[in-house]
Amino acid sequence: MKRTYSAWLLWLVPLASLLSVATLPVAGQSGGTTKGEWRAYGGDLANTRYSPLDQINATNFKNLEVAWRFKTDNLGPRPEFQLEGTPLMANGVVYATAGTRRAVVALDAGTGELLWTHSEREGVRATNAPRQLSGRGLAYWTDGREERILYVTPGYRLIALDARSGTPVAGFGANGVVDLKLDNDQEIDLLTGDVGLHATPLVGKDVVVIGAAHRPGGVPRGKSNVKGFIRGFDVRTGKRLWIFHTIPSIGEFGNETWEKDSWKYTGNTGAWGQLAMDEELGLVYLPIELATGDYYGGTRPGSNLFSETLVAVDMKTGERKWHYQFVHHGIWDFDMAAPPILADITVNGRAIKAIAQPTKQAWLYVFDRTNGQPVWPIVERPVPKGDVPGEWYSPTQPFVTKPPAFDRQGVSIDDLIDFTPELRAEAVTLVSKYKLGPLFTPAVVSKVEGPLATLHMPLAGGGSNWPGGSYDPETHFFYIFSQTAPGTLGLVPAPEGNDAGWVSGIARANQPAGGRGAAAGGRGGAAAPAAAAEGGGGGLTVQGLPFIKPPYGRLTAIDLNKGDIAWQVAHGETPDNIRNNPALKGLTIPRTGQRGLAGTLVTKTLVIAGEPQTTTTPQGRGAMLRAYDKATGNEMGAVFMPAQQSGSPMTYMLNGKQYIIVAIGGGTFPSEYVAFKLAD
Amino acid sequence: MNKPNSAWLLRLVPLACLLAWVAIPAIGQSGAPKGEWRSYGNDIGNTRYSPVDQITASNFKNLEVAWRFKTDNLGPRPEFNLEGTPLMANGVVYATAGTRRAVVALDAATGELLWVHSEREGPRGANAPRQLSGRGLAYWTDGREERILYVTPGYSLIALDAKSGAPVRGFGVNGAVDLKLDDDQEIDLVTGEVGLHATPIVAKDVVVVGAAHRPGGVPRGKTNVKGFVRGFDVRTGKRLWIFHTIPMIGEFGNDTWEKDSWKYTGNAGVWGQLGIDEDLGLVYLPVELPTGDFYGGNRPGAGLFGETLVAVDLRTGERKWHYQFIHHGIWDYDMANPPILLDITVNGRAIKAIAQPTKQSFLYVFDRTNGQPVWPIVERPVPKGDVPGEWYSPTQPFPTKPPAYDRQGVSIDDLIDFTPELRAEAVKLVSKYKIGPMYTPPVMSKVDGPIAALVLPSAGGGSNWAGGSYDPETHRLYVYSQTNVSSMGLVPAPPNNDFGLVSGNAATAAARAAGAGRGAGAGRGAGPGRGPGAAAPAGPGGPPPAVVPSPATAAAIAEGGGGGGTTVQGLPLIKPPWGRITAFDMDKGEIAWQIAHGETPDNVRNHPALKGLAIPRTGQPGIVGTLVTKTLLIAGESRVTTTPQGRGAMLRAYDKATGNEVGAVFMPAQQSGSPMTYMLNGKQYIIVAIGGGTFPSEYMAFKLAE
Repeated sequence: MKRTYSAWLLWLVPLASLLSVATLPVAGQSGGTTKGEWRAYGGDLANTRYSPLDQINATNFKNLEVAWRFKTDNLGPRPEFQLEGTPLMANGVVYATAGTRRAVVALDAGTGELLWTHSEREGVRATNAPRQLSGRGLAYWTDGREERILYVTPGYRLIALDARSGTPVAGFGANGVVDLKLDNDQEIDLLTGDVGLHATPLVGKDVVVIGAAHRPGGVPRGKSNVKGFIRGFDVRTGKRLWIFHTIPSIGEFGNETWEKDSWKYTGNTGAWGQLAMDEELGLVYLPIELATGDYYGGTRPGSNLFSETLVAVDMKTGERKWHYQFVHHGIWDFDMAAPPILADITVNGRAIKAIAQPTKQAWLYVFDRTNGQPVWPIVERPVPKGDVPGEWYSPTQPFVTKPPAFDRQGVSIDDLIDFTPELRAEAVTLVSKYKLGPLFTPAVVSKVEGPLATLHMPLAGGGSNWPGGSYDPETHFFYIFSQTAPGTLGLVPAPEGNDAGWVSGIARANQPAGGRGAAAGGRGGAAAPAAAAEGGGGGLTVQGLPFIKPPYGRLTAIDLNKGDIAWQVAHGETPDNIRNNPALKGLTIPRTGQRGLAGTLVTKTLVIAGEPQTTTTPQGRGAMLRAYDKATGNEMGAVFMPAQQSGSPMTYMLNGKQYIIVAIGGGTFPSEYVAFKLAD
Repeated sequence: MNKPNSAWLLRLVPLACLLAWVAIPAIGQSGAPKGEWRSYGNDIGNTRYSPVDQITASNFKNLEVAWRFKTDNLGPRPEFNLEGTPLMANGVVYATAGTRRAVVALDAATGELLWVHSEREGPRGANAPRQLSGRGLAYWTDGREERILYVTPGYSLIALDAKSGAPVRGFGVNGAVDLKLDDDQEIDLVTGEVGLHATPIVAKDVVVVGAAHRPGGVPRGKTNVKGFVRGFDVRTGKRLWIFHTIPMIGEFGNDTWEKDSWKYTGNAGVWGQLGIDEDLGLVYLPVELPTGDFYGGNRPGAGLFGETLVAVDLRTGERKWHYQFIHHGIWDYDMANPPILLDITVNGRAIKAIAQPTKQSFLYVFDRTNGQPVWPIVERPVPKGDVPGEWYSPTQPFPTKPPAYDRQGVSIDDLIDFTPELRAEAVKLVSKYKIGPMYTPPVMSKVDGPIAALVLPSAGGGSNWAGGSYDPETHRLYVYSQTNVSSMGLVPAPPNNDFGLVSGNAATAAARAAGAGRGAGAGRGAGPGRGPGAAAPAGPGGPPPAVVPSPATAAAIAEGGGGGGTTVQGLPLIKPPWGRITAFDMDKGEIAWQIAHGETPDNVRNHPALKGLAIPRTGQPGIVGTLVTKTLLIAGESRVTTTPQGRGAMLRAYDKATGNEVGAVFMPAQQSGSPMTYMLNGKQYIIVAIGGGTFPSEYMAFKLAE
């Protein structure tokens, strides 16, 4: 294995003696998983993705064997290739969503044996759904007697199932179903209304909270869309308890940030990633996405609260307690994809109940979660103003001063590849038709003669995306994977009959406007654009190579007590097309990492993450599940998987054995869950 | 591809103009309704016939995979022994699968899993004599309600709502009838040795359930559970009747059990499929042999209804007629094959017939209304053995027509003769065995010979549980059979076993024979069937078969060799073909054609001793079910070989009139369960169960490209 190369990376060896006396926060709050189970998507309601298990450790990780595999092909009318789920484990049963119809399966945690399956046939409503396929998982609830599984269908209905039998809970909604397109303070067409959800419900204190998601918004169908309101429901009855208007109605706080009555028709502004909950504070944390139009906001002048805003609301009433807007009037699709993480930290001797929000823009925003005050200063700084007709530009944006960004931001000539002078020269020529600039450089109107688009980094897919990070409540380290990839921001006139004004696109000779053009993927799950799938970075290539320098994927550890990066390593073997590129022959290229999305798991001693791409490994074509010493970032072992990680890993203990489950698949490999354990 | 060797094969071209006039029997009797497949044998006459004809000789080779259903996660570990034939009704495919014998409902067009049901039976399941996924299930509807019925490994009859998979509350106790209860004998609920791989069979609201046991080469003693057969009300699960396959005192046939041996002797169940004639109101029970596959000294007498075909009243279980195929059986020639109901015309006379294929490769044909043989079956003297304590029947019944469909008995002429050297080695090898004609009995195994009697067909057949197919339009019956020998030797039973003599081989250590518990008994249990053929699908590198064939044959088969048992330079002892398909004209009682089925195994094709010789396709031993459609006879290979598409097995289609192969489709593993077909939304599908060796089991569905 190649060593990561020091020019890219920071290495800090933490003081183990300090760490060992760190106190553990309350279990269930942000203390990671308990009893060796994994009862929520993020391990717990704090989204730590942390488990204190340590049977699998640095010395034996490489000996992991496949415990069982669960193929998902037959859970829908055709095989799926995009399994993003993290299973849950409670009382010896693994629960997961899978398959093109988003079936729920209950599996014996020891053997993978299918115990029951449930799916809904939603017909046209599902065919029209903006968020299709298997989704990210489900929620588990118990009052100690009854156990329920809750999930949202592709057609946007909330289903409650008896966890033991898989049968719908008769007393919940209408025979186990709450139609989420109803009772939403707006009219939504049941069949065609653009709203759905890939994320899981979040349940705490008998309240189940549901987000909202829409079609990707580079080329909206118009300026009007369904609004992504957030609601809380009674987990026993399905009764709606509250709703939070992410686009405030007239008379509500923030309504004035929507000029020219744009709040009336503008939609989106949902919460399509995972939510977080602090049961003690009684707060739910909503990472809100941007409003309709990912790259053009001329139809919604103003700063657009609560677009790209972290909002804390009361979990019993939905009342707003505090909020913080990360991007004013967003036009970069820097919506909040990653789960917010609750972390109890100590900064300069002061204990802080914090919340840390990883972002596509590669900043980790850290607040006191009781009141929304930044833990370290976040300052408003001027940003470049664009000249797109009709656009409304915010003169400033908030800049995080600490911790440092975990990935590169902005594009300059220095960012271009320089493996050889020839490659650098080609890259310089390539970018000459684009506008370059620092973070928050806005989109341009695309012109054939140039600029074709703004090159910006991170791209709309991040940085980090929906898998988010992990947090270790014992060491107060935060871990996250991010990709280093530029995107193109070009605008073309909206097609005939579309009142969105300008939409994402690249001008081409003889090419009419419209289409999705340069809008690099980012939400849905279409996060890995074609070039990434081919192995390199960037959407533009130089002799088949990404035009920016590696690493293309990295794992960062941040000491949250200090707000410093503790270590950073490239994650993912160098893609085949780079390793084998003739232009690089004779050069020693350190491990470049891989672009994509990669969720992490942190245990007692390890950070575990799979590769987001397949390469030619010593075991054949496949991807490695890698384990790093969580204190140093040193790789301690790797296990072969027949396909890339597509969903974030989780772990649990059953009958004295630790298991790790990871969702894999993609390309031509149909999705499956693979469970690993040590040999008996 | 090798052309079948004409010396082995008979070919008759039927007169198509005659066939076109043949009337098709009533639906439900034989033939499938609406292109569906509603019972294991398609109909309760076990024809395995479907009149659909979208897939034909001209396009069979273009078949594509419609969907695959992997069964790994239907139990605590993957299964490698999927013997099921799925059903299809109203657009839903139903099947059993997985090590826990789960029931799955699949969308027939896409293979999408609609529901799954399985029972956790704990030690009762772990002790069960018939484990794993079984052969399938039964479907019942009254036009309103639809039910699925199956028997668990632990021998409970379960009724499920076909739409939801939920147990039917009003059936038995919350959907389950404990088959170990109310059986006219005491059976330990956890350890009692009785179970079933076969499916229930349902007609006129009566569900009939058979019984099966551990393989019987090395019984645990002379006493065992009796395999009684029962009928239940399909709506309530209430027992309607029981048929005592071992008659009690005062019942007909009790006198065929000398020295009160009926009291303790068990087995004599029905472990294969049953047949039903709804119009006649008769159920046909192919009863297996009693306790002890190769030694019957504990059960002197003819032993009715051991190895007997019995017709009983569907409503009452009352015996209407019976015919015993083997008196006092000691060859494990029990009736594995489903009896087939067929309406034929013999010498101008219309006969409602029943045809029973057998391990011994005789096709016994009767008038199913009264049990009279259609063609004479005559009692002939058979060799008497000299095993201490054994009771020998002086005669056995021999069908005079149709001819046996596979070779019977072993003589020097049967030994391989590819080269004079191989023949000489074979002759030397068999000199330590007793050989002889059909019904040559087992011998006491001696180190210096005879080690055993070499018996052909083996205890696995001939043909086995997969049975045959029948075309009601052309009156042709088709059956696959293997040509394979068993070595039948006896050794003293281990201490504390009152059975006397059990299957074993003195030459391979008495300890093994006595201790292994199964020895030469060949297998039922979890194995693909019984007998040495059962082991064949394991192939090279595969796990050992769950049931150990006779020591002499195990090695050769596990090595992936062609047929036979005892080997000569790794080659089977006897001449090919080792697997064949036979077509009978059932109006004439004659063989219409016969061909080798299955590509020549790799270890034969590549054998140095055969270099330069042109060996015609040898066929493959195993257990192979067939499907007959409007124009085709379809059957998969029982073994993997190196094919042009890589390591795998072919699903082959033959012109049903001539036996000419008209197409073949690659499968990644061998056929392990019999194929079925159905029509859905204008497309014909073929499903076949595959797997074995290192390949976990799955159902594969084929259809033509859009």
